[in-house]
Amino acid sequence: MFEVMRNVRSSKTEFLLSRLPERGVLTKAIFSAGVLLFFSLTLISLEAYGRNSRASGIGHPLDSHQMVIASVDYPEEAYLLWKNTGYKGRVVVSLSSRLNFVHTENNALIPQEVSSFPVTVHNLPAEAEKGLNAKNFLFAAMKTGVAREVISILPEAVFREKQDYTGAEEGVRVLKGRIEVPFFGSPRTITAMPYFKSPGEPVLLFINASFFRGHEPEEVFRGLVNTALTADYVVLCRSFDDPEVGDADRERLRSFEMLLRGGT
Amino acid sequence: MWLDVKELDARKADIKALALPLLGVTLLGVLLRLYGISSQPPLHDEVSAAFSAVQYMENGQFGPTMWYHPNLRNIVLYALGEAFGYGPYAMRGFSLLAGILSIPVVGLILYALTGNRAASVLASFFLSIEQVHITFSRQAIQETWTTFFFLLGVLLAVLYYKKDTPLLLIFSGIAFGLGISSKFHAFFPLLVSLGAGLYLSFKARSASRCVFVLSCLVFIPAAVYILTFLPWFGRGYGLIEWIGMQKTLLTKMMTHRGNPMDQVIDIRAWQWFLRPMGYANFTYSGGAPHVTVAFSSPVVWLLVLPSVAALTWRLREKSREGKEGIAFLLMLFLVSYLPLAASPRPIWLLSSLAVLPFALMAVALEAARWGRKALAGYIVLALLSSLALYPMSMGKAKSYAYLDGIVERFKPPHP
Repeated sequence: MFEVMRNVRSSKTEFLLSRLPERGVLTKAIFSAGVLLFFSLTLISLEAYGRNSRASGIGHPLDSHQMVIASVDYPEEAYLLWKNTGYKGRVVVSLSSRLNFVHTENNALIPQEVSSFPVTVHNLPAEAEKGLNAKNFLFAAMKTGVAREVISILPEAVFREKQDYTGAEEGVRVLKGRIEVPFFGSPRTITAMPYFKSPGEPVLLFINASFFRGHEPEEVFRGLVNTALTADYVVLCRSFDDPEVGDADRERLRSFEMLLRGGT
Repeated sequence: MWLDVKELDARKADIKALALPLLGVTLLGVLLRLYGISSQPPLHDEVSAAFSAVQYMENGQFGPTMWYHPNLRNIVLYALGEAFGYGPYAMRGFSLLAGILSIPVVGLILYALTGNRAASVLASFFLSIEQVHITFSRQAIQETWTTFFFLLGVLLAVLYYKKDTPLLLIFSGIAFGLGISSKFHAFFPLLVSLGAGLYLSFKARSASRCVFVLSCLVFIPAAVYILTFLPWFGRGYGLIEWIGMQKTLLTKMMTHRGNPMDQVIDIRAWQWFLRPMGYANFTYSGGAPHVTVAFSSPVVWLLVLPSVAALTWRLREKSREGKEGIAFLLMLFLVSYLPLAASPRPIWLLSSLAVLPFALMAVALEAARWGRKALAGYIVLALLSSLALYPMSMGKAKSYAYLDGIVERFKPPHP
């Protein structure tokens, strides 16, 4: 059988496209135009879909004194406020001495051994939300889609320490004035006030009293205003979860609130 | 050898004669891939893939497993899992289908390229009994999907280059798009098919063909690829952020060193065709360990580089039949393989499915030149070696003492 099969050979040796008389020039032109149109529409539609998937309020400059301002005692309350207000797909800018981005769920929730089918599958972001606490509320915001990007502004001393200790981890880039730590492809940046650049759209602003251990309220306010940052919702956190935060820090936070509200 | 469309039409009987043996080897492949599939316990990779599918489709977020790979797997697993439950057939169904359909497609590509029916059937036969391919056809991950889609893309592109029927190239672009949406390895055969199309268009001095090839093999795959990110865009991202995210994925892929539990042996692609290698998974079920090992059969794999060298050498012959078809095949092999072989990061054996079909075609072309007895003996030897390794595809490596030597190689180090 193989002998017979081996004998079946063709005598043509060239790619035939170059030898065939061209047919359907118009058809090809129409198809090509159709493909390019389809491609363009795909890009336009995805851009529109992405932008329309965001849920935000009206952004205002920080010195306009028109933003919604909320005060909370614990960081995780900020997440609940954002979630309950219906925010989605937002850039969150956090000023705190902590990153509040502790990963909690994957290893615990994906069973290491499953002995048989069917596999029981949980929604990981929903599970992450159940374990919400002060240490992971920004992580939960990223997981559940409240945040699509997190920018953590640390006090300068804390930031320098992070820079020094951030090793050559996969996917982590230590640059001048910022550390890029994408979270499963979602952008996440750690920086300090002098290096912070406004993302160019209204943000959800979170300010923890712990940040004022290294900064004065006036300095922070002016610094943010100078970046042309706009926000629609500001959460000020007194951070009773953090034993390192003292009354003086909370008093500075209160002064910062006065600046935001237009008082003196 | 590239076949003339008239010749193709005139040889329908010949193609029918090809269909029967292809059907036979495909049925053999079906048997090897489906046997005991529902009793094979789920691997951690498969469970994680199901979690990743739900997370991606319901929240638009990548991961936790293989988050740097494209997202077709998430979309298909979620659709099948939600429709039929996360059972063995729903979860592994698409891998099985892609694995099985790849068998005849390999033969059809080689036949379209060379007109060598014996070699075409042989190539399909090799893939049908290929233990690494069988192993990943039985797992709910994207390895066989990528292979199937780029093979289909190559086949349709080759047929377009013969028949000049526009729809073929449009479907080729869609197939390649689905391929790169499964794993980026499909990019390499796409690149070769695109290069061939542009070369032929320039040779024919046809601007319309050139534009058409670019439209179909650049913009269609790109559109298909980006559309699979729809749930991610649902998180509020825009196109600029998509480009940034692609850079992140690319960086991760280029630098990925593996997870803490990943095996640390057999991680160099340049060794694939020089010695037997494997990729192992461990899971527990019913209190017993189940070890699944994808292991390369030396009977076939060790012939790959000599076959490629022989084919390259014979290309020098001026009268060589099917010269351009074989050159195209060699390009497919080299362009798919060399980036992996040269990569400084670990490349595990599961990625070999990006190269293997072309390697098997080269071996088949050479083996088909042998005498009848030598070929028959080789086929029997290849089949026996595959059957000997077969229990490892099913997670039963620990059940057969003669496989202990292989299993021990992959035993995880104790802390």
